[in-house]
Formats: sequence, C-alpha cells, structure tokens
Amino acid sequence: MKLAVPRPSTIAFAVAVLAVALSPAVLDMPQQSLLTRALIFGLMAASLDIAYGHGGLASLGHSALAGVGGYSVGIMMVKHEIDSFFLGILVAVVVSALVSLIFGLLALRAKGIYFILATFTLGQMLSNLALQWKALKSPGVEAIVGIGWPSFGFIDNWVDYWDSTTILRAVLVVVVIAFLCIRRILGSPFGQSLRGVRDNAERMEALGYHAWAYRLASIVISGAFAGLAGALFAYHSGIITPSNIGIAASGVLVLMVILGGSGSIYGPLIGGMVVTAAQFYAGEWSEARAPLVIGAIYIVTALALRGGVAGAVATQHRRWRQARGSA
Amino acid sequence: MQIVANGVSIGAVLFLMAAGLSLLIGSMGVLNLAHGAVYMAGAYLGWTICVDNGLPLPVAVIGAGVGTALIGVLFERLFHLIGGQADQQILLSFGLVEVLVNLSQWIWGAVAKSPFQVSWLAGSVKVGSASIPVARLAIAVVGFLVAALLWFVQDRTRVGAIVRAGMDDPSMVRALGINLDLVVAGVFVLGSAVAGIAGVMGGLVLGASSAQAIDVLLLALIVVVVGGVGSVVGTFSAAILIGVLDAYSRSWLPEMSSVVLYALMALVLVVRPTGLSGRAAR
Repeated sequence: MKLAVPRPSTIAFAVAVLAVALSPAVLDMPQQSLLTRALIFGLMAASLDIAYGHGGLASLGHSALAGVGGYSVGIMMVKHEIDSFFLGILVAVVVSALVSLIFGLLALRAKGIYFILATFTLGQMLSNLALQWKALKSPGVEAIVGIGWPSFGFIDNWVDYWDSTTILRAVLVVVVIAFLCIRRILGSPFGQSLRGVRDNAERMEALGYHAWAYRLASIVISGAFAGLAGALFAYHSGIITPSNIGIAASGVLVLMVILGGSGSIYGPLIGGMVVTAAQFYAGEWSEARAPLVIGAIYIVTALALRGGVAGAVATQHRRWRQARGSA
Repeated sequence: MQIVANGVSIGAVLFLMAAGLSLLIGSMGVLNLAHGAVYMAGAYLGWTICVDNGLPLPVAVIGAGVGTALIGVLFERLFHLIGGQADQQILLSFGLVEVLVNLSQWIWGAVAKSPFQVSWLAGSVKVGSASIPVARLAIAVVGFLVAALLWFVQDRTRVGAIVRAGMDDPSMVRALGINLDLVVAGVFVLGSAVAGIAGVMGGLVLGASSAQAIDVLLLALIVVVVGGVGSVVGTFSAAILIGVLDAYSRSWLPEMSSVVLYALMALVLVVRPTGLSGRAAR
C-alpha cells in the first residue's frame, strides 16, 4: 500500500493550527482574544472568497450576510433566551443562506460593475434596517447587546469554565472544521466548474453547464459560511451593531481577500488574520489616526499587490523551482 | 407640496453627485466609490469659505469646485495607475475614503457642521399652502442649471460626442486618433468638481459631516442603478424620483424609510437591470 504524502501547504496548515491551539502558553488574555477575532475574520474572508475569487463575483455586501448570522444568534439569545450553540449556528447558517439566495437572485440580474453596485446597496439596506428597525435593537441602544457565550450541551461538562483560552480553542475547532469544508467544496468538481464559469462563462454554457446556477450556488454557500462566521463574531464580541455589517466592514473583507490572494485556498484566511491584527495594532498606536494606516494598506494593496500574499508566495515558489530546474 | 419641494432639492444634490459617478462608470468602467468623500470635501470647503470666513456663497461654490477638481486630478492619476481592474478600483476607493474622512476629521473636527446659514437665502416663499425655503429653491436652480449644461455638452458638442462614442467603442475612438485618456481624465476632474459643488449646495440643508462620504454615495449609487449609466437625462430623472420618494418615505414610514428606496432599486434590477436609460454596463 502506498502512503499518501501530504502536500507542503497541508503540513504548514496543520502546524499553524497546532501553534494556535498551543499559543495560550505564551499569549496574554487580550492577545488570545485578538487571535480569536482574527480566526473569525479569517473564516469570514475565506467565505467571501468562494463567490469572489472562485466565482468571480465581486461582492460589497458580504459583511451584511455575516451580520444576518450574527443578528440571528443575538436575537435568539437576548430576546428569546435560546442559548444553545448548535441550534444558534444552525439557525444562523440557514437564515444567512436564505437571505443570500434573495441577494443572489436580485444581484445576478445585474452584470459587471452593476453587480458590485447592487451588492453594495443590498448590503447597506440590511445595515440601515438594523439601524432603523426596533426589532433589531436592544432597548435604548442601536445594537444588540449582552450576547453571552452560548452553552455547548454535553461539551460543557468537559470545560470547567469558558475563559479566553478555552474560547480560543473552541473557535479554532469550529473555524478549522468550516475551513476544511470550504476547501473540500472548492476542490470538488463543483469548485472546478465554478472557476470555469468565472474564466469563460460562454464556453461552460456551451459545454452544458448552467453558469447562472453555479453563480447563485456560490453566493448561497458563501453566505452560509459568512453566517457561521457572523454568529461566532456575535458570540465572541457579545455585541453586534449596524456598523459591524455596513459597507466599511464589507470593504475590509474585500481587502482581506485581495491582500491574502483571491482565488487561492489559504490566502483569504491569512489575509483576514493579518488585517484584523493590523487594525488592532493601528488602533493601539493611535485611536484617532488608525484609519490613515488602514487607508494606506488599502491603497498600497491596490497599487502594488496584484495576486495578494498567496500570489507572491506562488511566484517565488515558481521562480525557486525554475532556478532549481535549470541548475 | 412641501415634501415634493424638499424632495426635488435633495434630488438636485443627488443628481450632481450621481452625474459624475455614472459618466465615469459609463465612459471608462471606473468605479470610484470615493466620490462621496469628494462631496464631503466640497461640503467642508464650502463651510470654511462661506460660514467660517463669511465670504459669499458663489465664492464658496467656485472655491470648493476648484478644490475638489484638484482632488479629482490626484484621484484620476491613481485610478489611471491601476488600470481597469474592478478589484483594485474598489480597494483604492476604500483607501481614499478612509484617508479623506480621517483627514477631514483631523482638520474640521469630528462634530458635524450644521446647515450653512446664508443671509440672502434665509426665509421662504409661499406657494399655495406650502412655504418653500429659498435655500432649497437655490439648490434646485443650481442643480437644474448644471443638468442643462451637462446635457448640452454631452448631447450637442464634439466633446460630448467623443465621450458617448468612448462608452460604446473605446478602441474605435482611439483608432480615430483621439486621445481618449485625456477626455476621460477631463470627465474625472469635471465630475469631481461637480461633486464638490453638490457638497456646498447640499450643505445649505444637510450641513457637512464625515458620515456623508458613505451616506451620500449610497443614495447616488441607488440613483445610478435606477437611472442607468452614462445618460444625463436618465440620471436626472432618477435623481429627482429618488429625492422625492426619499422625502415621502421619511415622513410616512420613518422606521423603514431607507427600505423604500432599496425596494425601488430591487424592482428596477428585476424589471430592467440596465436602469431606466438602458445602456449596458461594461
């Protein structure tokens, strides 16, 4: 029997997961919390890239879809006192997928730049709804506040109490499982066909693939994973506000995807974590001037980094192999 | 009547904003999401000239127009550098918004400026039972004048013909020996100047605040989606429609007001995805 040799990227991923799981040994509490947040945004960026990088559908309303998940678990916990984690994420994923379906049906009517404008405005509609509609607010504030850490059923018996370390590990488990699912989907024949539709829709149509259906499916899957990430965000932050799901948040997700490398496997996950950390440390450096740093990252990424970090690594790797091959 | 008048004046501001956006998308496929930040810069410049220094309103309009035209020159160079990639355009726009908004908060403070008071535009005109503030009339007049001017340039002049031809077949226009890049740069700078003027005129009723960079952009984008790109008449009718609808929904359904606009946009997307004017997006 031949033993399958894991690819270098898979080994690196496993090492990174292990490193995060053991990191509480060296990180203090705020750093653990930051790492948890970075993992959540890594997943959110990876979910965006399903439609963005692999489907070729630039969406500027993705944080709103994540927000649907976040608001779902927030409302369940704060207004209806349902605190089961598994029920919470199930509802979050299903509701986000349904909203994404409506989003997709509307936005896919438009093409090119129009599609971007449609996702921008649809996303902002949800953010405005959250700002204006009383059912989506805790009394007296413009947000859902007081979302606690959920109960995990039987798993709670194994955990003495939920502190930043156990929360980090729990989020890590969920994010890794979700990410492996995304990787599996993108590596499947469905993922192949989706990239085919992105690169040459007419040829795929001629081969008998329904381009529109693939695009719609990518938006729904993307939205479902966004809902999961949004639910994790709400559980971890304890609060979800209209600004969490507004256009600025969606723009940051696009930055994460492109900085990491859209259409790659690990790129968006890395981009999400890096940008989250950059935002945090820019805020530490100067609360008032942090947007200038973020703005500079945007502009430099736009001007310089075409394939993202993943693209840069791939180019280096290719050069290295070429150099080795010619030697 | 009162509500219609309010809506028309907001619609005029939206038209000034959306005209530049839609011309850019139509002529070069440039998605400049920082256009709202240019509006905001115009509003703040107008505040400095008109309120802080007490100079007359026309001076503020010219000053803000020139100032935002300069911002437009800078933006055009940056957008020119990254070429026609939508990904990069989105990132560049967002970066410029972050920087401009933060700089404006640095210069003008985080507190929003209240609507500009201009002595000769105070008071109101009685029309039937409604009393319409003179400031709102002035906004509508400026909006209509600019609309007429833009329509004339685009539909009746050689430059307008080049811009329209560039939307339909850019490579053919270039093959005819026309420097399309220069024309597009001109459209970019002109659009920015018009957005700056919109900022000053809008400041008469909306004041100036950093939130406008996104809020005004959003309304203008809805106008672009509803009106279609690249047509002055389509943009104008959509802007007035959105302005009036926004004013009505604000007074009737305050809890859901913005949803009404989005519902209209969703309807247009479903029925006529290319917008009212019907030019296909590239």
